[in-house]
Order: sequence, then C-alpha cells, then structure tokens
Amino acid sequence: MDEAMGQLIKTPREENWQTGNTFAGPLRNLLDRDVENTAQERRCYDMCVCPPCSCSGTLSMINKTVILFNSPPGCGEEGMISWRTFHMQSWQQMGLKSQPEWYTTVVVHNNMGQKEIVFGGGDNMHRSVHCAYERYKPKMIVILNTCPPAIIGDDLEGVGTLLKKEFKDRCHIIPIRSEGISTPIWSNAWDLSLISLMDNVMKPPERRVSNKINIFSNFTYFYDDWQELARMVRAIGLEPSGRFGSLPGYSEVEDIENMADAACNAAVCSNYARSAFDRMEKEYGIPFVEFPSQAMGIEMSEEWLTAVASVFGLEKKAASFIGREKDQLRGSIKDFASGLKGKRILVSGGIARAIPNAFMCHHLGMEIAAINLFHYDHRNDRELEKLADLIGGDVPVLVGMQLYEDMQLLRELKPDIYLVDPHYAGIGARMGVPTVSNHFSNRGSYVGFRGAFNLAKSLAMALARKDFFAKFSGLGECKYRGTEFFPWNEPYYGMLKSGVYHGGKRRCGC
Amino acid sequence: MRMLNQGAAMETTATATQERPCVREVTTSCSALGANYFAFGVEDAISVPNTGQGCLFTLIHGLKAKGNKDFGPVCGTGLCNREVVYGGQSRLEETIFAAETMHDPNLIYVADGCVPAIIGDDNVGVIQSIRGRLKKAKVVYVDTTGFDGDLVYGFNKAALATVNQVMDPPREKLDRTVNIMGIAYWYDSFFEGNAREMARLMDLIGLNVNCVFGCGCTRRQIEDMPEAALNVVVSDYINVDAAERMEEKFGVPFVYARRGTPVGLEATEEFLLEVARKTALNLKEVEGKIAKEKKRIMEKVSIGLDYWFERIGRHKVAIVADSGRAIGLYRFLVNDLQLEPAFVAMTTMGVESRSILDEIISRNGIGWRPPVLEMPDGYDIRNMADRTKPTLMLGRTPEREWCLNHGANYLPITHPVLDSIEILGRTDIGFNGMRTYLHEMVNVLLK
Repeated sequence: MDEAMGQLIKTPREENWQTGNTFAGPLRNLLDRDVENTAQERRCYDMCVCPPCSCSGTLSMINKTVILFNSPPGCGEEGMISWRTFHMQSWQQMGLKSQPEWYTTVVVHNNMGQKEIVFGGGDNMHRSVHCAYERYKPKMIVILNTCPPAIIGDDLEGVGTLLKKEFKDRCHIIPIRSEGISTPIWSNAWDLSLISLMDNVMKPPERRVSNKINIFSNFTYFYDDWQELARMVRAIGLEPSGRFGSLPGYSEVEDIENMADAACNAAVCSNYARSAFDRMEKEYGIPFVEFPSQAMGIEMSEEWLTAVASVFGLEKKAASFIGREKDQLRGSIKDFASGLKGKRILVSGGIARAIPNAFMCHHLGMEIAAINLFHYDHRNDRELEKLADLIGGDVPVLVGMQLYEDMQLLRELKPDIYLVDPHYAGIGARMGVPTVSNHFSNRGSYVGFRGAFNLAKSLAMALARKDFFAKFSGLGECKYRGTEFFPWNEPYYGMLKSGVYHGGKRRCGC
Repeated sequence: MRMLNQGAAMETTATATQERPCVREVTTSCSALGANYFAFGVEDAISVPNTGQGCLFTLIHGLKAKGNKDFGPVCGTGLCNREVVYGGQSRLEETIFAAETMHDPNLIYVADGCVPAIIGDDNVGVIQSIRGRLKKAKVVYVDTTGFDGDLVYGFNKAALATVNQVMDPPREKLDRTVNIMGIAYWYDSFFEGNAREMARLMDLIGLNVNCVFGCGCTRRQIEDMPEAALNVVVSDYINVDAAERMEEKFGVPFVYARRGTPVGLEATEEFLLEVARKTALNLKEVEGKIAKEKKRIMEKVSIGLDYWFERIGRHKVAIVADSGRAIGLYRFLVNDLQLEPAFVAMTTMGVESRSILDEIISRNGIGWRPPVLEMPDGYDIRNMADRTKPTLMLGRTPEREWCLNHGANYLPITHPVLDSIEILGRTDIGFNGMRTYLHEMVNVLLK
C-alpha cells in the first residue's frame, strides 16, 4: 500500500488547524508534537458522531424547519435520539413537560432504497423536498447528504439549485454535503451547518445595531446556558440576538436572515463557529471575539467576557461586573472547595470544554489525573500551554472520543472523580468512580459564572456520594479484557509514561 | 412464507419501491445496526459493524438511549473516505483480528452497512480467508446493506445467518425441550421480562427451555437449538423466517404468534394450547394448569378492580405498535377489557397481520370498525389522532408530544421508546403482561 492509500482525505478544518483525534502521551508532548506522526494516526476501532447528525442537532435548533436526511431510513436515528435528549433538556429547563407548541421543526428522511442506489436518487430527493413542504409548510428545508448518495454521486448541488428556484419566495432550501464518510472529525459539521446558513439564509446587513451581539452555541448547550451568557453580556450593556439570547437557540428563520445586523459575533465555543466568523468578517466586516476556549469555569468566563467587552470598548464595565461575580463566587464555592482539595480528577470532553474544566478543577485545588480531549487542533495551543504551566506538562493526555479508552484511563489511573460528557457518564459510574456529567442538567447552566458554581457543587455532591458509586463498581467491566484491551496493544500506563505513542507508528490490537 | 416488514418492503420490485412514501419521520435504525442488536443478545459474541464511522456512534448512542448497559463492546471498522476510494477489506480483516484479541469471543458478527455494500467490497471473501487463522471465534457474516431495510429486518437477517452458519444437524432430539424466539434484544423494551415470562409459561405447561434466541443466549445454546422439539416464536414477524429455516434444515417445527403477541387471558391461553398440541402434551392437564394460573393472575389484578371501572372503562384507546403487539393489545384492551378503540396503527407488518386484525375486529361485537393504519408515518398517526381523538394512547415516544399537547394519556410500549426505561424487568406478554398493562394504565390514569 502506498502512502496515499494509508491516509484519510482531510477537510479544510483538518488541513488548516491540524485537527486530529488520535494522540496519547504527556501534555507537553501534545504541544511539541510532530503533527504528521501523531495527530493524524488512526485506530483499529474508531467511531465519531456522524456529520449529518451533528448538523441535524445544530439546525434543528431553528424553528419552522424541516431537517431532511437524504438517506435510507436508518441514518437519521442519531438525529432522532439527539432530538429527544438535547431538546428535552432545554424544554425541561424552560419548565415545560413536552415540546412547546410554537416549535414545529421536524426530522425526516427520504426513504432511499435499492432503486435509488442503482438508478440514482436525484428524483427522490427532489420529490421529497416538495412532499416535505406540502406536509409541514416550513420556512427552511435542510437537505443533509449521507454516505449512499455521496458514494453513488447524486448531484446534490444541481437538485439544490433547481429547488431553490422552485421555492424562491416560499422557503429556504439548504443542501449540505455532510456525508459521514467525509471525515472522522465531527467538528467539521459545525462549519458545514453555519456556513450553509450564511450562504443560503443570511441577508446582507441593512443596518448595524451597535449593541447587538450574536452568541452562537451548538446543540450541547441548553436554555439555561443561553440565559447565563445573555445575562453576562446584558450586564455590560449588550443585547444578544435570537429568541433566547443565543443562535440558533430556537430562533426563527428571520433571526438567521438578520444575523449580519449584529455589531459583533461571539461563540460559547469558538471551535464551533470560527470558520463562519471568518466568513462574516470577510464579507460584511463583522468583528468577532477571538477566544479559542469556552466560557466555563471562573478563569475562562472572565476571559470570555473581557474579550467580548474589548470589541465594544466596554472593558471597565466588564471588569466591575466580573469583580462582583467573582467576589460572590469565592464565598459560595468556598465550602465545596475544601472537600475537593487534593482529589484526583479525570477530565474528559470536547477540547473547548475540557480545557476550561481543567482550569476550574485546578482552581478548586484538585489534581488533574489525566485529560481526554475528544479532538485536538492547534487553535487551543495557547490555553494548553497555560494549562501545562499550571498543572505540569507530564499530565497524561488522550485525544479521541473512544469509550474503551476512557474506561482504560479510569482503570489504570483510578481517579477520585470523573468529569465527562453525558455519553460516557454511565461508564464512570459503573466502574465505581463518582461521575459528573459536564453539560447535562435538568436545572442550571454549566457555562459562565453561575456554571462555575454549578460545576463546583456537582463535583462536591458526586464526591459526597462516593460510597453509593462504589456499589456499582465492577459493572462497567462489560466484556473488555483488562489491559489487553487497548487499541495499540501496549500497556496503557507504560505508554503514557514513556510517551511511546509520540513515535507515531501505527499500532492496533492485532 | 415470506414475512413482510418495513425493511422487506423496501427491497421489493421497482413498482413497489415507486409507491414508497418519499418522506418519513425518523423512527428507527437501519438493517446493519439491527443485525448488531442480535449480536448484542448473544452473550459470548462481539459485533463488528462494517459501517461508516458515524454509524457506530449512532449504534452506541441508540443502545445507551434505550438504557443498555453493555453498549461498549462495539468494534466497528469505522469506514471513511480512504476506504471508499481504496476499498475496506483490509480494514475489516484488521478489525476482526483486533476484536478477537481484545474480547476473546466465541462468535463474531460482521454486518455490512451502506458503504461496503455500495463500493462492492468482497467481505465474504475476507471472512473465508481468515477463518482458519482465528483462535476459536466463528465469524457470522450477515448480508445486510444498510439501505435494504430497518432495524427489525437486520435483526431477522442476523438470526437467519446464525441458523445457516452456526447450527449443525442435531445429535439427538429432546421431546420436552423448546427454544423461544421472536424477542428482539433492546428493540423490545420489555425483552428481559418477556424472555422470563415465556420461560415461566413453558415451565408451567411442562416444557424445558433450551434458550431464548438472540436475547441473552450463548453460542453453545444456539448450537443445541436443533435438538429441540419445537421453536416457540412469540411474534408474527420477528424470527419467523429463522424458525422456518430451522424447520426446513433440521426438521424443528415451530409455532408463531400468528394471531398476535400473546397478552392477556384469551390470547395467552390460545397460544399455550397451540404449543401444547404441537409438543403432544396432555391437553387436559395443560388446560387445568392454565385455568389455575388464570385464577391466580385474576386474583392479583383484582387489586385495581375498582379503578378499572372508575378510570379505565371510559377511555377511548389508540394502539400504535408493531403488528403482533397491536393485534395482541387489541384483543386484550377491546375484547378483554372492553375499551372503546380509537384506531390501530401497525408500525411493522407480518404477511397475515392485517387480515387477522380485520377478522378480530369484525368479531368484537361493538358494531363498528376502528380505522387501521399499516406502517404509517408519525405524521399520519398524528392526523388520525386529530380525527379520532383518543384519550389514551399506547404507542411510541414520537406520539408523546401529541398526547401531552392534547390532554391524552400516553404509555410508551413499542419501538422507539426513548422516554422510558424498564428497570423492573417486567413483562408485557403472557398472563403477567396483563398485570403490567393494568398497573401502568391505572397509574397513568390516576395521575
């Protein structure tokens, strides 16, 4: 096999930001890494959120929309599950028992079968958009391409252009090349979603509203998170756009059309929207808040708000607000911090979430046992450098969102507490480790200053229940087989210590 | 006999395909992932879904959302653009060996998704080439394509592949031993309790159970299946084709829930008597045992008797369920409990399901026929609900919103159920299934 055959084709994000999802070794090695040899490796087993499902999650946050999977019946299942888990989260936080009546977005598929695979699916795609419009009368129809039409070469753009003409004054048509085979890095889907909105829905600015700010957040942020960020920017005299202070955030299509009226763009997670920000700055001169991490934890919330304020020259107002918030926080988390001091924690999550969480845990006096970043790109180097200075460059870091690797970390490092995305929270609990899910809660935000309080409280409460978690110990072993179960077939701990993976040769369990 | 379900409907002729609705609300996964549900149900097996990398997350997230604690051991190939261009056979081979090294399984299930099916990988060739090099695991290849059907279709295909590739002719025949089939692991929310209840009922009439196929069984038990006297299929579309194949290949006869999943007094008794006849048990004795059990169950459910009349009796019920369950529930709710039916929606179809339901409806004695929907979309179900205005719906999570927004009571009973997890291990079939339904209905309606 020649060299080209062994490599994946990279997307612009992966090329420009050296995005990767494979690394294991000390934090310092990640920062000093040889990109060719580390971050572009591939596992025997690999899984990742499928891009159309990620797009579905993001764009289903816009009201009166039809999300149409141009796919066989099965592809949208993740969209349906996200639908339940993510949307229910916001609805519960709004105090609702079920879907609000004003929200009419639906997720459908166009039932692609053998006929379409053999004879082409263009007609089916065209017909299904018309059918979806007749049924639901949406203001926007998003066509998400999946693997089968991409491989057989259906002309998504051609059909999309025709549909745009047909629906010119009635409905926005947004075809997105989001096929799952395009990349193993799900964050590409964020670029696809937002840039598609800009290309197809956003209008040139008619007027610039001097205090209007767009705060973009993806579908793993919920109503309380949007409200907290809105509270923070309102405190310095700014007004966030969107129905609930965030975009998409259950906004109407009109809010998306008028996005370019804002004076500034910001995101709760800038990995999420950076490509879109670049585009908006280039086309309409809208500045954006350059902040590569997330407004989580005390330090990062402070930095985020300061960065927002600096775009508007409101640093003084921000400093005074931040001072008040920090004073209040210091008092309120003091009791929690005493119980957490010296405890070892495994921090796991998306890079923009895991880094501020690690800062916050360090702030609480905890020892960072290891960090698992779901993916990596060089835009977070500054924060990682800062983190390495604080907690030491020898802290083990794993890059990737593979369930079995988190299990291995838990088994080998035996942390006192595990902070993780909700997908994996059950694994930690089943291994008897007190576990905190870092962005799901029926009540309360995990971002901003209030989020810092909630995080400290959740960590302290989980630790207080460690005897309860211990009762589950052993259930998480599933069918895995001790240290042999490791993708590179090497004792994990030894590998972390020696940073052997940094050498870069391909390994797997066979 | 050819079982027809949503998936099977999709692989029929071009004419049939043209009539397929081109927009459907998402409710289920594909055949490739359905095959993995079967593999999860075999305790010493590992599944190697040969699919795109995103499909694996969907599989794991799907199982997690349904509450499965064992959603970890998925060793998928995670195909990406490289494999689409250069082929994915070497990656499949690599992953099968990795799966064996890491998990030491007795069976490895490989099911193809859309990507290898379209690019034309010769995965049968890959599996044949590595057979002698594996330590002990046997590889079962499930010929799915992802776009050929839904989750149940894949589950059925995996079952059929197991019959064809794992089972050998019987060494001996065991007169009083049966296999239970037709309970889909995690697809059926009550799978654990249902397996237990069926085993209990078999024991009650004097039969031993070798295994519950694809629902907590082992390779050894699967290999012993041809020795059984009868296959008892508790569904009218799940595993019926596998049972047919076993009859053809090993001479093991089968009974299946042709007249609906056995739930409640009438349907369960009818089903048990059929099993007794097929296994040549003493019918008089069996009838006696059933009568005793029915009395015991009626005593149990009479706890809520006052509430039945007070709360349940006035309700207009809609049933949204797979065909077997829909028929079984119709018999239980309308024939046994005398509730007024609003409509029946069958989300999957056995070949005879519609005619059998029609026959049961025509004999229900209420003088009119409730509308019946065959494999409807969520949109159609909501429209029907708007028209018929049920006050109680036994259905799926997608119908939840309609119920809550229209003041109707709602019980999630059939796939997809994403807003309820069965922790108590209850059953929704057999005599005890009646207890579960009454418990749930009384308590939902009391609220």
